[in-house]
Amino acid sequence: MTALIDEAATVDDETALSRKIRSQRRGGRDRLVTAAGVVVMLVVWELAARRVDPILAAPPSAVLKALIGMIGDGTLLTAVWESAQPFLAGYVLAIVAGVPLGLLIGRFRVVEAAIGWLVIAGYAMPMIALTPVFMLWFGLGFAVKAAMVMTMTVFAIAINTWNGVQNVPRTLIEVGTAFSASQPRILGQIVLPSVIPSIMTGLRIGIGKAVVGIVIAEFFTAIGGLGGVIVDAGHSFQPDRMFAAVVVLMAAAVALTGLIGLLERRLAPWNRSIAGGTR
Amino acid sequence: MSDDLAVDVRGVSKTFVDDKGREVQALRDVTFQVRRSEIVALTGRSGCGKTTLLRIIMGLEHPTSGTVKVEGEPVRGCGPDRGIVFQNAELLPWRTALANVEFGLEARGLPKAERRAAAERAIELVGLTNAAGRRPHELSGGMRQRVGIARALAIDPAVLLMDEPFSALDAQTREKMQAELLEIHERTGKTIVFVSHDIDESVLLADRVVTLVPDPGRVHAVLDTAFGRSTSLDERRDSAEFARRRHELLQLVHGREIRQQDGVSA
Repeated sequence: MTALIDEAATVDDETALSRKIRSQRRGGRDRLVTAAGVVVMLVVWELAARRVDPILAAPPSAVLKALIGMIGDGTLLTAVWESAQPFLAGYVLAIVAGVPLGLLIGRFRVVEAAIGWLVIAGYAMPMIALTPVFMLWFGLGFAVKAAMVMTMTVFAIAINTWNGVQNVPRTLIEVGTAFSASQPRILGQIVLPSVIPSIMTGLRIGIGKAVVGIVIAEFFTAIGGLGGVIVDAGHSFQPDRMFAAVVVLMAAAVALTGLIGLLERRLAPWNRSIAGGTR
Repeated sequence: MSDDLAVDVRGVSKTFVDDKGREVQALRDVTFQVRRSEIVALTGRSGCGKTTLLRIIMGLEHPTSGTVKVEGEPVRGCGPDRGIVFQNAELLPWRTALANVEFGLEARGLPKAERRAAAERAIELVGLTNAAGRRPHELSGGMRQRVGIARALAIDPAVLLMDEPFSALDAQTREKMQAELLEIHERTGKTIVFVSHDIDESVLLADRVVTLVPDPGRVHAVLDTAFGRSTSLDERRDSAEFARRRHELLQLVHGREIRQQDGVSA
């Protein structure tokens, strides 16, 4: 009996190990491809931009110079700081509101019938159309930026959470019932952990939404932040500064998405290894 | 006599309503008893309602009519007097093997130390102590099913219910698990009711086999298949009784099938 178990254990370890090695190799190759992609894009951009009037476009070299200048005189840090605060506030609010909202809609059919349509409509709504109203409601400061980031993000998080609840395997809920678990225990110990991967997907999509939200807010209120820098640079024919701010925005979005991915691996390590077989 | 009964199923019928609103009778007037410490197999072709019957005993489904009693108590929903093992183990993927076994104990409000001790005993019983800290995706199919069995045994139920517990395993692992189930039965003396479509498995493991026939699911025959308590699986397989009972059971399931088809075409 013991021999059988040890044998089974070895087999399992081998598959786990080879999978790990394979994914590491693939990870190394993927990074190389990504780096090559970045280099090719920079070269093409550089060559193309040099043939164009410097008022209309800037090559990466000029953007880099502008970026260093903006770091030197403190403009960039101020702008990032101004954007980051309402961004984080709005994003956190969206999580705090969106996750419970999605859980409720997914778990209770009454709630789904009552407000499910509203969440779908909210997700599809073009935020830009609501900007004037938001400015009337929230003024021109911190509050309007946070509110727009939140509105932009909350529906993506709610919809993904909702989806996740609906995809909880019925058999697992049955395990809870069979072992006499109470409803709150089933919700906390079975439904919620099953939904974590979907919530993380919502958070990842939410980052992109939130970036759009903060930029729209800063464009229209035109008060500081990275969005403000972009508008100012655009209006004063400084494409190098404009692109520098855009690059910073994109880099921040990529970094934040990566951070969410890390968090996901910490919170739901079982998920990657289940789905990992096909990737 | 009735003091001796672990499970008492009387006149159980079950009617489902399908997607189109039609009523489908899954079980009709099913009656059978299981004595304490007995191993009983429910077998039959697919669609004969054997899994539905097991789920009714578990309390996951309610019969349309009839009663089920476990240890003399009428079944009203699930309870800790019955432990169930699902076909595909159905472990919580985010929990370790040990924590999965603990799940059933948590609902009963036991102190943590006691819970842990009971789970460790159950894990040991199925021989998984070395893998207790692994998550389900790090376990083989056989090991996962062992955890499923340990989870059901940990709550110390009067009756262990198993729904095609070894059907998802490869042949070699299945044989090992069958032997281990007999070993566990010998050590714990639990009453076991299992569903299987595998005639050989039913004859080898069970003291009695209840055969069901479909459309609607009902009991066709109850066959006595008891071997001596400590007869090993190999001895059972090589015995003349095994061949005879196996043949008899095949006749019961297969013969009925032919008559059924005649009935349908007529």
